[in-house]
Amino acid sequence: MSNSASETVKLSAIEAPQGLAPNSAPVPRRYYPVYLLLTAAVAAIFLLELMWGTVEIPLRGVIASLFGSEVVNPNWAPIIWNLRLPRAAAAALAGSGLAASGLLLQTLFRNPLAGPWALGMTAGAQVGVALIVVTTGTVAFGFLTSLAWFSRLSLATGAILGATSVIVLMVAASRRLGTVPLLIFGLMLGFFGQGLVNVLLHFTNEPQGKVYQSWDSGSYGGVGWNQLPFLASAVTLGLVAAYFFSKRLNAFLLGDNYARSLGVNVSRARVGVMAIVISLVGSVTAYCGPITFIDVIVPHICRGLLRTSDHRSLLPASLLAGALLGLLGDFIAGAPWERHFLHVNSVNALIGAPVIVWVIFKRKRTGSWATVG
Amino acid sequence: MSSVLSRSSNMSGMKREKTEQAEKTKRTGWGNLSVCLIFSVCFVFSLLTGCRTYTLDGGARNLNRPSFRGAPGHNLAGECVEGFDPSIDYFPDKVSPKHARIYSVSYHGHYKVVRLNPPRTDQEENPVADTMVLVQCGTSAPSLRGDLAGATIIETPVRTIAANDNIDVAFINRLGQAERLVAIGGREVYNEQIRRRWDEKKLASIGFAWHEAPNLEVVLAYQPDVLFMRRAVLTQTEAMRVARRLGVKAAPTLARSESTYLAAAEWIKYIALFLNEERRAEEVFSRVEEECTRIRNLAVAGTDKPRAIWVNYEGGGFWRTARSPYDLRAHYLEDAGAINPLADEHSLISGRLSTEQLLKLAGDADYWITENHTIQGWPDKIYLQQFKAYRTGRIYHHQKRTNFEVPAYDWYETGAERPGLVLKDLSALFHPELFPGHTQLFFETLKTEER
Repeated sequence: MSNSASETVKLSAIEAPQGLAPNSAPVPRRYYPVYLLLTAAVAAIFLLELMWGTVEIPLRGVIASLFGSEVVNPNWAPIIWNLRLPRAAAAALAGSGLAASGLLLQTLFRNPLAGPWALGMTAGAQVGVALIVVTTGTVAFGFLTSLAWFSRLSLATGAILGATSVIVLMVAASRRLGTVPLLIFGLMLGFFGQGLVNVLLHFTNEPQGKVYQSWDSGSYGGVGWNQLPFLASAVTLGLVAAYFFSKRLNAFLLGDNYARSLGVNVSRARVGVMAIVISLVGSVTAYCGPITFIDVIVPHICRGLLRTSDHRSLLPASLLAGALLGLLGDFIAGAPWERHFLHVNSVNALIGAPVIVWVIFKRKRTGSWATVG
Repeated sequence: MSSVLSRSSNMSGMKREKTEQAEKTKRTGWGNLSVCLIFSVCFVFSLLTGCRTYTLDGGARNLNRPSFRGAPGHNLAGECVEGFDPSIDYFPDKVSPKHARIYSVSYHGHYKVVRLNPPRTDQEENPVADTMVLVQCGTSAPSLRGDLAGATIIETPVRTIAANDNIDVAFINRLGQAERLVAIGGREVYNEQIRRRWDEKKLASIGFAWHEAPNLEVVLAYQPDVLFMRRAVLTQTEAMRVARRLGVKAAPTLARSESTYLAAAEWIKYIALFLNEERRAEEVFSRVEEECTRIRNLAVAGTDKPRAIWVNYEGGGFWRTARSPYDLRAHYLEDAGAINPLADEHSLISGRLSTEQLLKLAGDADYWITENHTIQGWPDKIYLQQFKAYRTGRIYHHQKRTNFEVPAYDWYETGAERPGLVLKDLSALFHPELFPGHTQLFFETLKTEER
């Protein structure tokens, strides 16, 4: 880890960890309005997502369908229960998980642009899935078709293994490289992964290639009630564990040496954070495909809103803001476009790219672009 | 003293400046963020004007069917049976595919069993078999045991239809049943009457098969009696499972996966099975078959056969060519009285060839048929001039009946449903002496001087 003097970290908001005990200090009350606002926004957009789609369903129809009371149109309930509700839940869960993973990675690597994509984790997941698709296509034609449930599980396994390999590599590299070289290393890994995917897909047939493309385009629509419990479990587990790691993460902001002086077992904490990130990113990427930008931008938005770097306060805000952006992206992408489908990552890019540009300019002006404080 | 004061004043000034700058930076930062966010949201919402939504008042159409008692003289295309008698044959009109290899049908008095067995001849298809039991309305469904276990039961004749492939829409229209359509892929349909109905919002959009799986929201909202759904790739297979789990009566269609043009056109009989319109389908297809046989016999009789290939430029110096015996375009070339120098009887799929390979195998081909309606994006003239067809201006595309404004392609509608028209066009190209005065319906010369 780089500990150069030029890096500024907002120390004021960070309290010294009391051993390794979970967080005992309450979240400052001044943040409550922000949390409430975010919660209300999430609830509102969630409801909108249930109401608005190709088929218009009024609010009373949504509520009646959800609570099983008599509805004007009997077709509304199956649309809401089987199509819109699991999709909206997946968008909220994925957004929360990715935002939390972005916060963790930015702290772990002390890099404001760190995230699963920039660090090559997404590319790792893509390579993993491409490998599964190619090998199943080569070993047994029809394998993916006849064993649909297993095939999804195998794609998920491929994604998780790929992402895990990359993050292990990145953590090892982070011991030798500074912030900017590490980011470049991550980008290079990403490009290498993309190249590898293209080469792998060259050796597969068209239907197998379409299976990959379908996963790679990123969507919450493929998550049904069968997949939702797995996604929800992994994300919830990751979020809870992340909250318990908040104080250790705060200590990381000040550098490894400072964290050690506060009694943090740095190596063990690093492995713990990595495991959490794998649980969050791996599960989301496995079931929804690569979802971009949420992971990078949400922590910055939350830091801007709360004016703190304290993870005990940032994490709940990131969770809510991530869910909000996940839902917003899906709400726009899932709108009843008259002629063509819109990809959720295109919408995320429209929202996310300006924020990243803003982060870069802001950091350049304040001379501290390489910090996460 | 004064210098100290001046220094102090300078320092406090610098401090103030720094603080102001920091404040300004903070303000500008948030300002930038706000501007960016507002811009993004406005941009995205401005796009939302291009949305099409459906308001359902009271659910799907409620079409009552008249009842019929006794033994019918023809299949009941609109009625429901009253007083079901198991000894009566409710399907006196029967069809059996002669050319199509993917589906088969057997009749059992008051129900039909339709089986799909996609062969693994083309890697684009998947090998999952499917069984459907089509039960005459007003009769009882058979128990799904033995080889019928897991089959999908669909009541016939279907009153409302959704279809996500234009070839199926064309079949339905040819059978005179376009009024039963409640949803199609979208506006990109060449048939003007059907497109007008879409424009008037009398038809819903479920998305085309070449994009992705159908929009199940719309399907669930309209509850069609049957959803004809192209199932050509694995993602669509999965979507069909989901659709059926949600109670949608989804019927896979694989006309485009057949190996010959007559086999593809024979899927009109498959569609007719759901409408109890077997008699009409048999009449229509017999005419198509007769027309194709007549033209083919005429075209292949001659000894002077030109060399012709079917190529589409993929980009990057590669061409997709028709060379497999399982590619219906290769059959068109052969049956129109041409020699396909790229034909490869061992090839399972359409071949991908580089420009160099194409030059080696078919540099002297007299004719090129392509779907590319413009030469823009093709390899440079310096390469193309190596090919005889380019030099002699005998490159033809099949987009003559294309409405580029929509865009909609009749090649995939009438062209697929009436292969005789295509065969006649090609035969007239290769053997103009046999079809004097013929006006091309689908083909026209590719303008090679566009660049």
